[in-house]
Amino acid sequence: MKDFEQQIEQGLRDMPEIPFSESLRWDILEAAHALGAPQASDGRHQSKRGRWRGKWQSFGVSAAGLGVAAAVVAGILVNHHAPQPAATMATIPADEIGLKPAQGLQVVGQPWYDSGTSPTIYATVKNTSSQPINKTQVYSVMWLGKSDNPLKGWSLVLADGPTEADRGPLQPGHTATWHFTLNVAGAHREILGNPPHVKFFVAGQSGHQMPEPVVTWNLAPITSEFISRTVTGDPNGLQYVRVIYKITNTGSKPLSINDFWGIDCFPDHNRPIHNWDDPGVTRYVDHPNVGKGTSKVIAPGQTIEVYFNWHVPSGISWVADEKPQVLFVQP
Amino acid sequence: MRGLLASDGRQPMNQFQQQNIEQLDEWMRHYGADVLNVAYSYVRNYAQAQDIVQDVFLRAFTKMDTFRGQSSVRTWLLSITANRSKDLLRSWTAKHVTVEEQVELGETGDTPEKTVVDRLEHSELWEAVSQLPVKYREVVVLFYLRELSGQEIAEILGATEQNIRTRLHRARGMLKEILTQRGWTHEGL
Repeated sequence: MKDFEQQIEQGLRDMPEIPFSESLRWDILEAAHALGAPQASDGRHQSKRGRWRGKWQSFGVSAAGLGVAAAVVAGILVNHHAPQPAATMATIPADEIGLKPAQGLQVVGQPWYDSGTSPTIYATVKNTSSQPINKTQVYSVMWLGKSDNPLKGWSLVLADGPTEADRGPLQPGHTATWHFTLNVAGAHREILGNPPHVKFFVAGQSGHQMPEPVVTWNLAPITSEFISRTVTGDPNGLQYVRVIYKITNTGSKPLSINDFWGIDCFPDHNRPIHNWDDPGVTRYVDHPNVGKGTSKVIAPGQTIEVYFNWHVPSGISWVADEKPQVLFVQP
Repeated sequence: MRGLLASDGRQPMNQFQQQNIEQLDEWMRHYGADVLNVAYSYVRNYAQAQDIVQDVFLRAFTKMDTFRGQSSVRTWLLSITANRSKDLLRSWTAKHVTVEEQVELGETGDTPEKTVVDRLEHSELWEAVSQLPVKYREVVVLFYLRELSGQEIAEILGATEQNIRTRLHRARGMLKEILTQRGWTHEGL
């Protein structure tokens, strides 16, 4: 038995640590920014409205037909095809994107995970509608974290909808187990201590006229320019895609790359992307990375180069052909 | 580094200012939790601890050019933290906001910060640490909770290493006495 004092010491060392919150950090950064560059008397602020509407519309006309959908955090998942709904007038404010909840899909109970060598998140999903639901008609948002806001999660994934055991559409009244295997390694495994959440949304509806309810995500005040895409690895095995963008902080506050997410969208067979959640789009999600020696904080007006590393499963060839588009969202 | 163009009507920051902001952010990422937890150990009030943290980092930001690197950034920041916390403990404010703090925390929802604060405040060991006089409590927190060496603690508190060792020894004895009086046993821990 340990000495009493030793046990006291161990108890002290095991005391929980109050986390240093992002909101506190930002309060301080803002205060420091104000000290370093005094606020002008008119307090003008650049409006974010109009920025992303124009950006996405410049991608071109809606891609009719088939496509791929899904994504990862630092991992994988891809594929499938579904008809594209007809485009209607956008009603989502241009500084937000809209997500339409898939009301016909009910997550039964709490999602759970198996934290084995390949940690996998599971959720039991029931089709409560009267129609079969194809996995491409919906997309899933999975995150690990204590917050109900996916954008505040430790990891964020946009992936497929559920399927039956035979990979076919989920029939009315049927229940299936949706799952997603995370590619987390080393120190990042600590994120598995956070509760998993899974929600489903209707694909191809963002920016379209749609009835409530709608979940909106804020766009980060960032513009971007595609620089390059490099594919390495074995086309028959795991491929790695590095996509480089130049991004500019168009807001009035410093932005850390850890405070926003990039949704990197690959079109299907070079069809133009109409919207980020089109069924024909493959979406990867992660915080951007910067090179060594580059600050992770982007000052207002500053432009820096960032990159994403995506892992792509074997048998996927489009990554070498398709030019991606990126949008940035923030809590 | 590229030039900066402020778009909100502020004066553009120069390169030096921008570098300092980036440096500040790095310090917060590395030492924010140290500063927050040490501040909280002094004042046991989360809102006040946050105020101290803000004060510490803004002081460090404005005095960045005076930091010569004789000590580590961590000990420098914690030295400011200890001094600011003791200033606040001596002030009128610290003696008059405890009840407000409880109300405020109760209304903030289940944040990770609140969860940990709740856990701490329900820990009998933490309660025992909190009963120690400040001069003993601070060495216990810095040594065990922040895992600093005797030499680092001596730098932070402006004392000799021998003095810190003595305080730590006495603090352990006091903790043992407090916990024993409460009926704690080996198994209780």
